[in-house]
Amino acid sequence: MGLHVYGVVSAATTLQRVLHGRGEAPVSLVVYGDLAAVVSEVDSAARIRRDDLLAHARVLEAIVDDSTVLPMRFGVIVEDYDEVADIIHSAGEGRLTTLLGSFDGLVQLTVKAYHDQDQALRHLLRERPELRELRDQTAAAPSSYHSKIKLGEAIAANLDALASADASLLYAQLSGLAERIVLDEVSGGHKVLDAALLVQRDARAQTDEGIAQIRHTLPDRLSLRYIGPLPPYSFVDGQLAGEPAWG
Amino acid sequence: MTTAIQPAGAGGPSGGSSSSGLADVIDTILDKGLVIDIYVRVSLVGIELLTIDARIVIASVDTYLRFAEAVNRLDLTENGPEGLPELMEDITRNGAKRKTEGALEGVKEKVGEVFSRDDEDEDEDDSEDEDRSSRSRRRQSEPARKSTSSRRRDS
Repeated sequence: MGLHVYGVVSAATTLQRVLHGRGEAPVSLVVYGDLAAVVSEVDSAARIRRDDLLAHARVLEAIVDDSTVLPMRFGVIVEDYDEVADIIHSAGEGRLTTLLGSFDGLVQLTVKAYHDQDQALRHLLRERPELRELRDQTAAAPSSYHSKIKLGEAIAANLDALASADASLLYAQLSGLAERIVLDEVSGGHKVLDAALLVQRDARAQTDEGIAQIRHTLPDRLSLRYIGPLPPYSFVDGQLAGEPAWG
Repeated sequence: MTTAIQPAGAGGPSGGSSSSGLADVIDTILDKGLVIDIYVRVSLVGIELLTIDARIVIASVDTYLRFAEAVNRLDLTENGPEGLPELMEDITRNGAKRKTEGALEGVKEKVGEVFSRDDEDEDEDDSEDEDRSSRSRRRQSEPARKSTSSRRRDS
């Protein structure tokens, strides 16, 4: 037996309905002073499956609908109920309380932007005559390995630059919608931007509208995913290790 | 379909935000959130599967060739060279492979990226009731899947 810890809430929090966590086990709150840990029983030796990951996220998403919760990174598992207190103790009750308070009434919304590669390439070919020229040269002399490399190199560099420019533009637009915003690293591929917005739960409608407007003016090459509301995952990241949230 | 842990906001006046999918979840909960190190007790076996060296990046030369092919493909109707492409592709690909063999670079990347790629490719196919054993098999073959198409078949 073990207990999976989903997150930390204020002791005043009540679950609005029965939540089921990993393995469909019922979720409960273990109160420690002013705080409570959100837990459910698990077999601590069990292999982690995709359903376990989803369960962790869903429990937290259900709670964040009407309460503030500090989300644990997946994988915090204790032996028994006594150890739940140890967790809160070792993290520092005061620190957790302050941190929790700082997110009062706030939720995270995540915005991810992606390039459609073909559209992005079309854009580059339209905007950059020198790329068109390179491409035409390559097409005229298809056997040239080096001309292909040269073309590809130029395309790659321009795609990167385009992604950065698009990301900056989106960031500027999104900043106006959030109390705070942090960017996650995007590691190549088609993802252009991964931004976490901290917004007032009550102001969700305005945020939705803002995102809808951004979507409306988005060039063909870009698409957005808009996810949430989530607990403030990206804003507690590393807090207890004393690292800045801007990883 | 169960609604037991459906977020309550789903029925609200949503202008569009959606609930997180598997890729988002992996992206987030394995990477972000409070960490209290001494209590992280997930069995390493499980986590290792989830944070495999998921992506093999064939260093720049192959990427460049891919881009070159992509832009040439864009307007083939305009001025595509006739006949040649198939043959030429084979030759250049083999040439590229030789040149980049030493430059294979395993990049530690979250499996989230892999899954999101899968989601894009397979979309609805990635259903919840997918058989678990096939899923884990798929995970183990991820490094190869991210590679070139010829390598993909090798696994």
